Amino acid sequence: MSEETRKGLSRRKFVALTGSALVASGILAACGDSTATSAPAGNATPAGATAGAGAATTAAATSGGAVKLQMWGGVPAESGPQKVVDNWNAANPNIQVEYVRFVNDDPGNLKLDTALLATQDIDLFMNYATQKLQKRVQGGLVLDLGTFKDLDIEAKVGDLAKPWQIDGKYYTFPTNIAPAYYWVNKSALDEAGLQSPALDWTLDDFKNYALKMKKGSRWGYVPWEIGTLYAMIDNSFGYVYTKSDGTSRYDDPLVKKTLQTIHDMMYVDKSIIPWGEQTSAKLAVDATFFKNESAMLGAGAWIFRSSNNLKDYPHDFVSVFATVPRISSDQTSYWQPITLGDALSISAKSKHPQEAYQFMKWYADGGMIPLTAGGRIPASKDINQDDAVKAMLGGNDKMYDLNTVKSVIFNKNPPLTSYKALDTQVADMIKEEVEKYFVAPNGNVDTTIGNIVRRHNDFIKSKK
Amino acid sequence: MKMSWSKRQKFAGYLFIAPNMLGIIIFFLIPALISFVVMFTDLDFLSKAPVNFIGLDNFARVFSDETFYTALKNTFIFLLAVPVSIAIAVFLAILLNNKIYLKPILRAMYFMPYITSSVAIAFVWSLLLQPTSGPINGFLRSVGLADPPRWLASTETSMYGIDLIMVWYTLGFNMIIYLAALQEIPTELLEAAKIDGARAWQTTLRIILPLISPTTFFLLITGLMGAIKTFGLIQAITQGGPGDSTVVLSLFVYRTAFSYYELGYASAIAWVLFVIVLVITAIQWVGQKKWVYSN
Repeated sequence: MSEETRKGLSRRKFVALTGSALVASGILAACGDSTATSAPAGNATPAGATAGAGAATTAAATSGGAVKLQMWGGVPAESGPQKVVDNWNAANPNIQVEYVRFVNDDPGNLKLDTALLATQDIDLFMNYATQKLQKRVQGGLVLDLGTFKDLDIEAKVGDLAKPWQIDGKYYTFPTNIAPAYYWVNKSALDEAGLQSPALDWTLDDFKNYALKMKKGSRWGYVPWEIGTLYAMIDNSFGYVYTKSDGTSRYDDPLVKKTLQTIHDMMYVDKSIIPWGEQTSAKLAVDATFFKNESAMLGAGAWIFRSSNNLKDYPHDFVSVFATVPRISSDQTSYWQPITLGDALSISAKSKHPQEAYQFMKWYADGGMIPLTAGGRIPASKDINQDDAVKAMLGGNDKMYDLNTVKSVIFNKNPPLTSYKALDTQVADMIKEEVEKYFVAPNGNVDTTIGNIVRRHNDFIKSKK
Repeated sequence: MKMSWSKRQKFAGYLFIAPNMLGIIIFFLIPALISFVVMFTDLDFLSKAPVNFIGLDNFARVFSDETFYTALKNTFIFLLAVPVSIAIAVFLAILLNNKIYLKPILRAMYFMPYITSSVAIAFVWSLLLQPTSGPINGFLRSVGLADPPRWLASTETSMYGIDLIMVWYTLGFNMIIYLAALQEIPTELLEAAKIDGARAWQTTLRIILPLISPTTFFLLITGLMGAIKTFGLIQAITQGGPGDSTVVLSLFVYRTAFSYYELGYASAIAWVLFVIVLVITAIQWVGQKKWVYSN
């Protein structure tokens, strides 16, 4: 509070002042009233745990006995979440959960943030990126899970949870393991006389594989999104993007090597579809892979949703899994991405935090199993991993190379316990610059890197 | 207390416009005024950090932000679509105003894009403009163009690709307005011209075009204003890409506000955008005296 008075106006005061200034200027008294009342509602102090159980009983009385909870998530209801809440609702007649889907893109997250800010309807919600969670915590929208004394997140999911801490506190319970990896068509490997890629394969190996497996109208590789094309940079940096002197790290030779190799694959080898065509055609990437129009696919676990759906994505080849290649064999550090996702949080304004917490624990400890067929591997140690594998493969064991399922998807790589994700502005800027390079057949990699470094440094300076 | 007749008349008048005025005040005027205050602050959508008045810092940032200049350039390229669309619309309207076959069907066809959802437009045009397998480039190749533009897949041509779609999208609306204007031209003027021996092109150039110039002015001014604010179409087609080659100012404002949550900075950009619209409109207003016909 003292901080507030010293440095400037608080948000609430600010909005209220703006509102009353409008009234004073005689715009329209009646409307000024409405601004003034809506302002505190949008900025109410988080109910926190103090609202607690007392509020639950009062609300329970109004809704015919059962407490109603609302959970927002990004997975389509029919791909598991509906089954999850149906299971819960059947077992818990006193706590009924309703699932609301938001699309996990910018407009979708804006919708969630607005609802969190302006209403008290949401009790539980999913975070898919630490940057988004951080914003929500800064806005006081998220309940600190430290208030639940019996919860030990690291005991449940291990050190992998650490990157989800904000200022040393847990505001969220990461529920699934989300490794990134490549899907490879085994028939294409066999045709080209290639073995499954080694766990420590390099960018040059990858280039070679793509070139050998491209054939006729089949590309060598297709990325899920543009970021997939240069994810090995993040892995090499271990998610540390600045040097010790605080300046951008993007002038590292590994960055140049990555961008240039991918560019060559598009325009020299022609083993990757030129990015401009992929993005302007809004290519359905998973369909491309399963229709055998690309031998490799850079994506992750969510492809199981399509892969297990043999009706809409018929295919008869076995899928092999490969790690994201390292940039060069002699690089000293390379971190295979294994992160936790689907981080479940409780809204600070929830009227039923206790009930929401019960649901959260149940969800993480096995309630989420219906989502596993969509590739979501439960992170909790209390879940039998073999059961999870079985559920993920959806009875189609013959369609997957079980060796690489174990070595790549269920890998035992040491987790990276501290990282700070790139600011959204910087990540978008890098995407823009790389995209400009990838769509231009005569693009210049040095210009691209120069732009990235300059704009990154500008951003760092502007935040000081 | 009894109101006089004229006062009652006035009161009734205000009552009639009240619903509309209330809507404008609540959803437009007040937010606009709030944004006028917000642009001098560092307000963030979610953050509970104290809000500081930072004077003109946001404006200093706008004018040193390279994305702003990219967006400004793209916006001006985008505006080219407006006069082009108007020129084609005049031509089509004059054509359709004559006796031709299937007139109602043609009219409806030209108008269709205007009532089509922008998401559907985005999808269809992405397919049409596909650089390697799309029908447009297929046609261009078949008539001997070896290296047709890569349209939305290249940073050099993407903005023109959007222009093409925008022309197609607004053509129907412009044409319908022109058709209405053409109906207003007194037939005796045209007959007199005919009797005097004027040719068709002379009639068009000397009589029809000057007489519909107020419509041209109207379409130009509303078209430019509308185009500067256009956001949905571009968001649906390219989302500003590839790179930043189709980021226009309205998209830049949207991103700053709703992806990065920097409401203060976004308000500042929005007001700069407002000044640009104002200047363009003012120039047209002054310029119109030279070419717009009035009775």
